[in-house]
Amino acid sequence: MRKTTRILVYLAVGFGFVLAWLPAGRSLLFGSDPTDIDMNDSLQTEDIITDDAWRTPIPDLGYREREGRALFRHYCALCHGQSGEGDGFNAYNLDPKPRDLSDHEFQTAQTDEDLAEVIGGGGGDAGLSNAMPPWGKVLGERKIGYVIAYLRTLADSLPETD
Amino acid sequence: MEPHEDKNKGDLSRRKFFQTAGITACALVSGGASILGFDFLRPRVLFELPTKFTLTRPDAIEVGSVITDEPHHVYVARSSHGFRALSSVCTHLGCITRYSPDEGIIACPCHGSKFALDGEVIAGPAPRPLPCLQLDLSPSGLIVVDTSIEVPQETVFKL
Amino acid sequence: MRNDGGGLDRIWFWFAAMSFVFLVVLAISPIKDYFREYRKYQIDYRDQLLERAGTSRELRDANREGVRIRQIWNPDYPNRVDRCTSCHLGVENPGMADASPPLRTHPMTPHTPEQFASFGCVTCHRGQGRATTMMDAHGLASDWATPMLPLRYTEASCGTCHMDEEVPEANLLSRGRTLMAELGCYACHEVDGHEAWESDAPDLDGLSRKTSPEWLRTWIADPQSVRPTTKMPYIQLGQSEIDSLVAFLWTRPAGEDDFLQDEENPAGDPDRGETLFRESRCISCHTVDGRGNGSAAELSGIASKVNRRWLIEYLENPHALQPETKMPRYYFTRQDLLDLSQYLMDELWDPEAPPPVEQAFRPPQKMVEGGMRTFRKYGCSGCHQISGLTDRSRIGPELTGIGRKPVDQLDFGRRDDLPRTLHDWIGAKVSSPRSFRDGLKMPQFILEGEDLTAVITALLSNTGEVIPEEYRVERVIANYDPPGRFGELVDRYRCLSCHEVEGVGGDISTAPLTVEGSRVQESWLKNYLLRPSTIRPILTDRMIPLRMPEEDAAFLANFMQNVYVDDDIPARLFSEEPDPANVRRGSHLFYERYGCQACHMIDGRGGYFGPLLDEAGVRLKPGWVYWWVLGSQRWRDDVRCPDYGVPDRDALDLAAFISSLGRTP
Ligand code: FES
Repeated sequence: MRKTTRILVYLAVGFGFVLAWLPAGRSLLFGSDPTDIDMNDSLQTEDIITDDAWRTPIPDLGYREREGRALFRHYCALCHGQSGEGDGFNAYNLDPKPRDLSDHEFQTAQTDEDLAEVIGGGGGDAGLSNAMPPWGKVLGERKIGYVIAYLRTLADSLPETD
Repeated sequence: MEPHEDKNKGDLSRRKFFQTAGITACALVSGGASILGFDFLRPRVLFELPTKFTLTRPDAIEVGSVITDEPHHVYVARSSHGFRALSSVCTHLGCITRYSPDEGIIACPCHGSKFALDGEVIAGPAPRPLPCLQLDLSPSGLIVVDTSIEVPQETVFKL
Repeated sequence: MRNDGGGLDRIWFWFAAMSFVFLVVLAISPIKDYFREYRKYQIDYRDQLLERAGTSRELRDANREGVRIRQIWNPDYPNRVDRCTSCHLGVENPGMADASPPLRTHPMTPHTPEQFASFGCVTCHRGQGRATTMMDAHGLASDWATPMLPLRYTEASCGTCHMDEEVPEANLLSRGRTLMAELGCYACHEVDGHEAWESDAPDLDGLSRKTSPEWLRTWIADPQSVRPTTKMPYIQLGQSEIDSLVAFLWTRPAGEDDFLQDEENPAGDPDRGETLFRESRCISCHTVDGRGNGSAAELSGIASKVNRRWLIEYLENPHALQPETKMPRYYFTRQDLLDLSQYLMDELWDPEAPPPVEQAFRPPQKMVEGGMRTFRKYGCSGCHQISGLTDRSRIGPELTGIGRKPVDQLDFGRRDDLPRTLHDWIGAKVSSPRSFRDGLKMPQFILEGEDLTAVITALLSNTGEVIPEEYRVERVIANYDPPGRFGELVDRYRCLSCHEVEGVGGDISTAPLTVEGSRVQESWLKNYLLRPSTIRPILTDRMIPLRMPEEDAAFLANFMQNVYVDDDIPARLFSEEPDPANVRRGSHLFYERYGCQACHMIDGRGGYFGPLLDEAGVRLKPGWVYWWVLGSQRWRDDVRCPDYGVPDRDALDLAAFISSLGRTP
């Protein structure tokens, strides 16, 4: 019987080796998985390959926000102003004044769909000033999405979720 | 004698144990090996177009028009009733048919078979109508065609 | 018997042991399968789908999701299959927008979700598409040459197919490519498709007639400290190299030392000069203390740089001194030239410029020869033309394919601090090129923040990959030469420095001239060329009064009227005067329905981004207004006048109203 026990021990050790050889088994044995990386933040992927000593600059804005910024500056900033405060040069003669888009309260109260509706359909249709034109035909759904992504960075806000 | 007997008995039970263990393991090995072997023969992934693929959005196809997807050999036709997908491989000898928008029919260039937009044979040597394929809508709102599922000729999908 | 029994025992024992070992070995494969990384994601995905399922169909679809390798195979590319979707399961499912990666929806971009099936993942993100573990698939294993691009450089991949400088919806890439052309990377580096790049740096012949050796010395030592907006980089030269360069430049042709005397030009009236400066709208192109368009040189400090005699000669006919310049030739009188130059010399001098030296500069021949070598060594002729040096060979290494170079082929030199990645290497090369080794020649450019990221992106986009024909979007290089006498006048007035015609020319002006004849009325155009009026009050870069003779204006206007027309734009919209009722209705639409006054001013009322419409009736053709209102982006796709989707009838009435403005019936 002692012999059997010894052999069983050998086998168990052998099996343990096999497990340890498999990457997934390793995680089972030792808990942490070396490949288990939180992919929430794209930068962390890089952490594996770069260390923090030196890094090329990271743009403040992501792709959609950058596209949105270009569109905002081209189409919207004339009235809404570069920082969205409603103080673009063309706002001078407007009544009512363009909306202050950097207003945190205002933005939290609007869902993306609300914003998309006014940007795409214009102020007139939404019961606001007709000086806000409809951009739906020029920009289309996707680009309006970019613009909204950028607007959110102006007031540093996301819509409230309930 | 007693201890000897005992020892012999112990020998026997140990042998029995080894026999059972060995034979069970052997059986498991051969059983498992054949399962794995069969599994190995069946490819997990193939280098070929998937039978299920997405096309455009439904509203990109106007009522009364037909779009052709060359790589997958599929037509998607939209009538006032709804959508219908047809294989574009001729049922005669397997040439690739063509849709002619002027006549509103599908024609085979090889031996002149002609098909209506519901797949039925209008003329020529083709023995069977063009197979009608399963249509679906993807979560992102695109048309999904599944060439592995044939549906009855009269099926029209609403999408 | 006992012995036999013992022998049998041992055999049975080994039989059992070996069978067990076989079992264990056999178990490896299914166990490995069970622990596959994608398995847990796929199970998680199905659970999440089930949780989110609202309809029975969604429930059915969710239940169909099994554990298997998912892949995108694109037959257009040789040997490419992307199995990324085995873990990134939700990319095509908009319902997963709030899920955490890898199950999250792919953000909407110009090619997704519609083109997932034909583009796959690796085309844009790089990495190893066939692998099914994260480390391998992301290309993080050390033997894989093209690891995944960090997200901030993904736009580089747009540039593998889109060869144009401006790539739609890829801001960063477009900016990077524009910067590369502007900064003159192609002067030293050969890059496929950019062989025809031309520098707009000035010719260096005749510097001894233009400036002083001291100014030249300060400039070459560090151009950006003299004029921060200059495109000329900091070449990091030693003092003797600078001296020899100045000596060399001074002898092309040999010095006349004009900076010392100027007897033939009497003093002018600086006040009248200032008026002229303003009226001529020099800041439509130049800047003064940073104010102005900025496509031509900054003028503050010009008095310390050039001498008055040269300035007068240049203003009289810029093309004689700099044949490639973008500056038009104004018709200035002799008095104009004296006054204008007086104003510039009196006002725009640089207090920090070196004091003028009162004696002639006669450099020794040896120094001149040394200067020529320096000039060659640093590749100055890549940007500057100079007589006697015709070979404009590029001194830098070729950059085609740089965007896909394997890291182990990169020379990191002294930069041990750098992470071993391609993008970090490129970043360091671009931002501090001389830090790698001694004896490198690349000058220092000022590139920071997003601009640096943009240039790295542009470089990464240059992969030199063979892309299937149907995916390539070729670079369009427009080619148009205005014909005959019209062409001569266009050249003299350098219209194409600001205006675009048939895709050729500058973009300072918002008005391409390609359909000018269908747009404006001939009599108005002729007057405008003679005496430009203000159309867009807000712009600094407005049309310049060229003081051209009436005959030239008439010819230009007539030519455009007959040649630059588009048959799609109705030449005559109304056969007779429109009905006043329509005009009234148009007016109502203008103010009440479409809110055009938000941008357009009439009688001092309204916004002022859009053109003033006070005289629109004599300026614009009614057919143009009609065509415009129905979709102005057809003219230029970045036009900011929104497309309201105006019905035809409204467009006619708006045209009737606008063409009634500024006309006395
Ligand atoms: S193969 Fe089509 S008709 Fe013969």
